[in-house]
Amino acid sequence: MAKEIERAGIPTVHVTNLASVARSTGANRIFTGRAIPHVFGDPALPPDEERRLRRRLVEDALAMLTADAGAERA
Amino acid sequence: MTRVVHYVNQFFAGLGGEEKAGLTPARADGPLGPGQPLQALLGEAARIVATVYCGDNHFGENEAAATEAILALVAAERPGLFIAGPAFDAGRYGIACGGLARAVSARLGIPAIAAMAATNPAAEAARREVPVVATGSSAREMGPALERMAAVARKLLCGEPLGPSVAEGLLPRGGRRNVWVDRPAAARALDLLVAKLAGTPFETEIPLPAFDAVPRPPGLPDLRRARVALVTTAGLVPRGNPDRLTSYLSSRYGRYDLTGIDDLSGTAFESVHGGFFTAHVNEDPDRMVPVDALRQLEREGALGALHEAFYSTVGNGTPPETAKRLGQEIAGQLKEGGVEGVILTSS
Repeated sequence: MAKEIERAGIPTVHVTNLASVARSTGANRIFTGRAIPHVFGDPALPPDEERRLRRRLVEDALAMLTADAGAERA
Repeated sequence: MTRVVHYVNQFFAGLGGEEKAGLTPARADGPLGPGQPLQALLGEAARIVATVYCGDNHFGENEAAATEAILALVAAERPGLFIAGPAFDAGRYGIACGGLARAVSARLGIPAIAAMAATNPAAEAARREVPVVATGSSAREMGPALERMAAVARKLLCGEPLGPSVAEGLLPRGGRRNVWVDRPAAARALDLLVAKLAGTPFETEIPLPAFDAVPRPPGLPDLRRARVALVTTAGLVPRGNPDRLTSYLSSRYGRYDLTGIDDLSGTAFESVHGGFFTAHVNEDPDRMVPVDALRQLEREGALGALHEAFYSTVGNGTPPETAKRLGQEIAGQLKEGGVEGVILTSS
């Protein structure tokens, strides 16, 4: 799906914890999230910390949208 | 009599479902779960001396470390053969089976086979590196899968070379072997063309690779002026699933309004994805679709705009052709909406 959206000209960051699958389909921008059941969160953290973590992860994912492509971030 | 190690996930080891997907690598004596009928099929030639298992989430999130730990467990058994799966359509389990079969073969020098459906997300990466038995999509097809795995295993055990993938019931391995054919290429090409024009069935001699490369759109010049949309394959929908998206084999998507919403709440939204442990996302859907963080950035002026709706489908057993169509349909809507960038989240 990410590739089709990029094919339409819209840069797309695929946030996943199964980067090997994203890579094998040829996705261009792959961002490794926190964990499979919660890519942008961590229920083990206190709520404030979790929100700060989410914000950092989102900012990093958005940064991949501004970079010219071929990026992967663990 | 060859020693064999069998790899399964937490579910087939009999330890539990999604709630045990975080289990770290471990071993047990002898065959577990499907290993038992597999042992019966292998007969006297081989003995499954140990079963190594691991939680699917733990493997997916810690692939390198889990692989090291499992390689050590496998090596300690001194096996002459390693068998992983069958994973059917389970993506995380397939990643583990394919990755471990490759690692055992390449790093321990021990013959290895894996087994999964052709549509498994991990099939593409594994099929050229190790023999991968092609199975059906679900454990309902366990019987035929184990039979084919035992047949391939028996050949490897007696050093018999494997024939063409189709004949052995393997996923295509991408190898090329020269064979004599009775008619020249020009004649065969004309046969294909005539069949194609007439609409009669034909079989290509060289199947083209499934995944093409997409030219990369350039990065966004300025996030502060950019409209970004959220798309998810984690099946996040309004509580009650008004569009009735299915938990598996999804063929549709939903478009859900975010106007006036600063934060996704578990009372208003839920995940209907049937392939991962959804409790954390149901407690706080922002953990998968981060509306709260993007709204914050929007308010601060760091992001031009969060698009007024998010798009959602369930990525569970979805064949690549369906995913392609869903992507195209959503892309059309995003373009109409003036969306300039997308964050697509998957479980």
